[in-house]
Amino acid sequence: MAQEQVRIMVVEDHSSFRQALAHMLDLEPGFRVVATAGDLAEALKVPTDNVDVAIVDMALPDGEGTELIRALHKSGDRVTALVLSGSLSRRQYARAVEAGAAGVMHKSSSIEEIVDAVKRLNAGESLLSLEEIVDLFRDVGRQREQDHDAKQAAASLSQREKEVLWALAEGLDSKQIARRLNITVDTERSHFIRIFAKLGVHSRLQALIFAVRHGIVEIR
Amino acid sequence: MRKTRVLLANEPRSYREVMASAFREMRPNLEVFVADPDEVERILDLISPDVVICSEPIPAVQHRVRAWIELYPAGESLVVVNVEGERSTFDDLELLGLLSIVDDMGEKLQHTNQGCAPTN
Repeated sequence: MAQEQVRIMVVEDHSSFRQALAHMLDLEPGFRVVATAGDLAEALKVPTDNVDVAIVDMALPDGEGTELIRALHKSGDRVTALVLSGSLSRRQYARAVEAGAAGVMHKSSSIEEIVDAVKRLNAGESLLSLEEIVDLFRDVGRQREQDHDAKQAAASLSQREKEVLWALAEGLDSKQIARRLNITVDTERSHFIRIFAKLGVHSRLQALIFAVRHGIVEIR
Repeated sequence: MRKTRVLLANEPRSYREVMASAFREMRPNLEVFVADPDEVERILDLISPDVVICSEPIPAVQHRVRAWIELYPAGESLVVVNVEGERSTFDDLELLGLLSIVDDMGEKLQHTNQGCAPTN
């Protein structure tokens, strides 16, 4: 009896890598590459009722790989998603798993590791232990809480306090900020004391990093 | 006439390994080598490649290899091809396109007999 082949879809925007990977996977005994796509839009058009494993790049030019994974799950087709990511960010891994990826691998993996992962996933194995999945979700939850708190902190800043941060982002010192905003240096310092308290930071540098990270100011 | 030597030293690892496997399978006429980017300078001495595919062409590659391809630097969909100082830029490149560049460069280097001399 002929062995059933694992039907694979490769979604990756770097064409030469996508095509090389598809070519090599197709040569693997028991594998058959049934579709490839270079972006999210193309991948969403692929009929997935004949796909067993989708190898998905996280960073696509028109969206994230997680969007495709969610769509695969919604479709009801039993497609197992393996994410290949160029990032080592735990947060990205968590998001991929949360979206429904059965496995996440970094692009520093070898072709043998990728092939092995596809075989294991197709056999119903998980690449992550339950403990690892719980840890990842815990991290995502924690990160969401921190993001929510940061958003609230940013929203609590007054317009004047934002102007002070903008001036800081331009590299101005205390005297220059005070002159720019037509206030005294003492008042400028008071503004910063309130800013530190609201943002939960302890220095101008930390305040600036917070402000840049959360989009309150830009560094030009 | 020796085979054209191609060194893949691009990041990430899966890219260089997968592409090297594909090159070997699709072009048996090439000698394909794979190296970590940190080892490139040492490998240049050992194998004298005719073509180097890398993510960032270090000075040794730029000065000692007559044909190099900067493939997806920093993960960008960009390919820069440099053959004896003549530079072309592409928004991404398909596998067959990459292979044809390697083929053309190999032919050129073989015909002009100006490729790096093999070391013994």
